[in-house]
Amino acid sequence: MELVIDRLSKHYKNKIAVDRVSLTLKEGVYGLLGANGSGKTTLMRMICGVLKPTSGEVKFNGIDVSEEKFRDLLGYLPQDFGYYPEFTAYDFLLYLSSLKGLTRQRAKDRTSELLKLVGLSDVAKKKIKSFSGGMKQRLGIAQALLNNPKILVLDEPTAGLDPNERVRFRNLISRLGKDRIVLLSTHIVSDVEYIASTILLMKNGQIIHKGPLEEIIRPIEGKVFECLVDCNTAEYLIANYPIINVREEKDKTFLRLVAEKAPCKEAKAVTAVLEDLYLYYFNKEANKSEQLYGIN
Amino acid sequence: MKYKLKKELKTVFDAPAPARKEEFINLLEYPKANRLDFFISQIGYIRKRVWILSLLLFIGTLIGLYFSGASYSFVWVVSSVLPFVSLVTISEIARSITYNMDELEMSCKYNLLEVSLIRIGILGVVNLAVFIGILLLLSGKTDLGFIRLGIYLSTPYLLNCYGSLFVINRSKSRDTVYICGSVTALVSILNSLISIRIYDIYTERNRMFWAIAFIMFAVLSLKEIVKFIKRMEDLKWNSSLTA
Amino acid sequence: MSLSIHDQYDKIYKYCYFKVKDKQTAEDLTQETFLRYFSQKSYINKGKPLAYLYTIAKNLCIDFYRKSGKDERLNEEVPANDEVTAFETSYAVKQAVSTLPVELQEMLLLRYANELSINEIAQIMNISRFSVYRRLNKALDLLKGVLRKEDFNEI
Repeated sequence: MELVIDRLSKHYKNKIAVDRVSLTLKEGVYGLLGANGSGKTTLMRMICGVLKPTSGEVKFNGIDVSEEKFRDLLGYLPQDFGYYPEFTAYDFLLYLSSLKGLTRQRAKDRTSELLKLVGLSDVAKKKIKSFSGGMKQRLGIAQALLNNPKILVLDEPTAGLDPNERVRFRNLISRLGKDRIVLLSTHIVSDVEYIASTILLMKNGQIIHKGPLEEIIRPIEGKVFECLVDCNTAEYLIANYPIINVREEKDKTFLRLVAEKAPCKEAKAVTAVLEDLYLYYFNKEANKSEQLYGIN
Repeated sequence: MKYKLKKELKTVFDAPAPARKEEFINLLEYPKANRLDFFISQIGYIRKRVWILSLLLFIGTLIGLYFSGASYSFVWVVSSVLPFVSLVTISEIARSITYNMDELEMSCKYNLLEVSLIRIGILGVVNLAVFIGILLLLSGKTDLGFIRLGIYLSTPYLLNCYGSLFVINRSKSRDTVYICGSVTALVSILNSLISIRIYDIYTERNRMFWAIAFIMFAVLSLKEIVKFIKRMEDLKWNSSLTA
Repeated sequence: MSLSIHDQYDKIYKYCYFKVKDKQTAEDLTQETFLRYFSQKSYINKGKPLAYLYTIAKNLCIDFYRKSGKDERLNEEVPANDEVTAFETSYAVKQAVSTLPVELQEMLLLRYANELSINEIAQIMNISRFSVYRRLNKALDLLKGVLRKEDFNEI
C-alpha cells in the first residue's frame, strides 16, 4: 500500500499555497502539523482530488487521484462541511453511502454500525440541524468511514470534540491506522503526539520535517528550559529568546523557552515535547517567511 | 421458572472466542452498487417540489385554458409563471453548493460532477416535457405560430435561467436561493409589465426583438450552465484560502 | 432488519461451533458463510437476510461432515466454556441440554442464544411456524423434566 505524492504544488495569483511537496505514505497514522495558512488544507484537498494541483501527481498503488477507482478507496473529512437541511443523521449517511457506491442493504447496515461507533445511535433519526458541533463532527468522521477506505484523510477532525470524545477518537484512529493510510491534520499538538507514528511538519507550503516523534523533536532536544525569574530578567529573556510559555506567579515570572544553552542561572533544562517544537517553529515564522517569500 | 431457564439458555451455547474476526471483517469485500443503481437513487433525492410544481403548472394551464380560453393575455400569464419552474430547477441543481456539501460530494466515488449532470439531465428533461406539453396545449388555439409561441413562452424562462445561474456561479452563500428568487420575481414582474403596457408586444412588428432576446438568453444560459458544470469538477471557489 | 456483521459473525460462529465442535473449523466455516453470502447479488435483493445467512452456514456444516465422514448426530456434551464461570445453575442446564436430541438443541440455540424469530427459524429449518413452536415447547418441557429430576429448586 503506497500513496505517492510527487512534487505537488498549488500556486495562486500572489501566493504559493503548496510548494513541491513529495511524500510516500504507507500504512499508519500520519499527523500533519502546521499553523493556519501553512497549506495543510490545500495539500489535503489535492490528495483527495477535490482541488486540481498546479503541478505534480498523486497516485495510490499506481492509481491516479483523478480516477474513480482512487475515490473509491478514499474517505475524506473536510474542515467544514454542510448538510441538506431536511436530513437526519441516518439520511445523511445513507445519501453519502449511495454516492460512495454502497448497495442499499449494505448502506443501511454500515450506517447503523458507524452511528454506533461514533456514539450517535440514539440521535440517528434526529435532524442534523439540532446537532451540537461535536455531534456533527462525529457524524463527519462516520461518513468518512462508510466505504471502509484504504486512504483516510481528516482535516482538523477533533475540532469541536470534548475531551472524552477526543480520547474515543484517538483510540479509533489508532485502530484504523493498522491497515490503512491515515492522514490527519491538526494544530492541536496532543492529538498528533499520541497517535501519529509519523509527524509531518508543514510551513509555508512545504514539509519541513518528516519522521517519528523522537526524530522531529531532536532539533530542540536539550534546548528547552524553564525558569522562575524576576520581572527584569523576564523582560530581557522575552525580548531575546523564543518563548513557549509565560505565567505570572506571585512576584516572579515563570518562563518556558528555547535556547542553545541555559539563558540564565535559574534555568533548568526540561524534556522537549512536540508543543515546544510547534510553538518554536510557528511563532518565529512571521518575520522570517515575509523575508523569504517577499510577501506584503 | 421459565424465565430463568430462558436466560440460562442464552449462555449455554457459548463458544471460545473467535480469533480472526477483526481481520476478516476488515478485509471483507462487499458487492458494489453500479452506476444505474446510483442514477436511480439520485432520482429519489430530487425534491418533491420540482415534480409538484411542474404538475401544477401543467394542470393550471389546462384549467386556465378551459375557463378563459387561449388569448394573448393567457400566453403571457403562462410565460410569467414558467420562470418559477426555472427557479426551482436551478436551485435543485445547485443544492450541493448552496448547502456546502460540494467538497464532500467531490471526494466520493460517484462525485459531484456526476450528481450534477444527473440532476441537470433529469430536470432538463422534465422542464422540456412540461414546456412541450404546454406548447402543444396552446398551439392552434391562438393565431400565433408554433415557433412564435415557443419563443414567447420560453424567453422569460431563459432570462431567469441565465440570471439565476449567473448568481450561483459567482457566489456560494446560502442566500443565493433568495437572490435567485428575487431575480425570478423580477423577471416575472418585468414580463407582466411589458406585456400590459405594450399591449401589442406579441405582434409581428416586435418579432425581431423577441427572436434576438430568445437567442441571447439561450446562449447566455448555455454558457452559464457549462461554467457551472466545469465548476463541479473541483473546488475553484476557494474561500478558505487560509488553511 | 439490519445485519451488523460484528454481531452476526459471533452468532454464526456459535452456530457452527455447535455443529462441528472445533474452534478453527467453526471460524473457517463462519468466514466461508459470509464470503458466500456477500458474493451473491442476492445480498441486495433478498428479504429475510438472516435466514439466508444461516441456511448457508447450515449447508456448509453439512458439507463439512460429508467430507470429513463424521456423524453429525454424534451427541457430544456441550463443553464448559472457560470464560463463563460455571455456576451450578449454568452447569446443570448445560448438562440437561446435552441430553436432548441434537435437532432440539439446535432449536434452542437459534431461538434463545442467537435470538432468531420464529419465522426465521422456520425458514432455516424448512418447517412450519407451528412445528417450530411445537419443537421449542417440547425442548423446554424435556429440559424442565431433566432439571426437576435433579431436584434443582432454584429454577
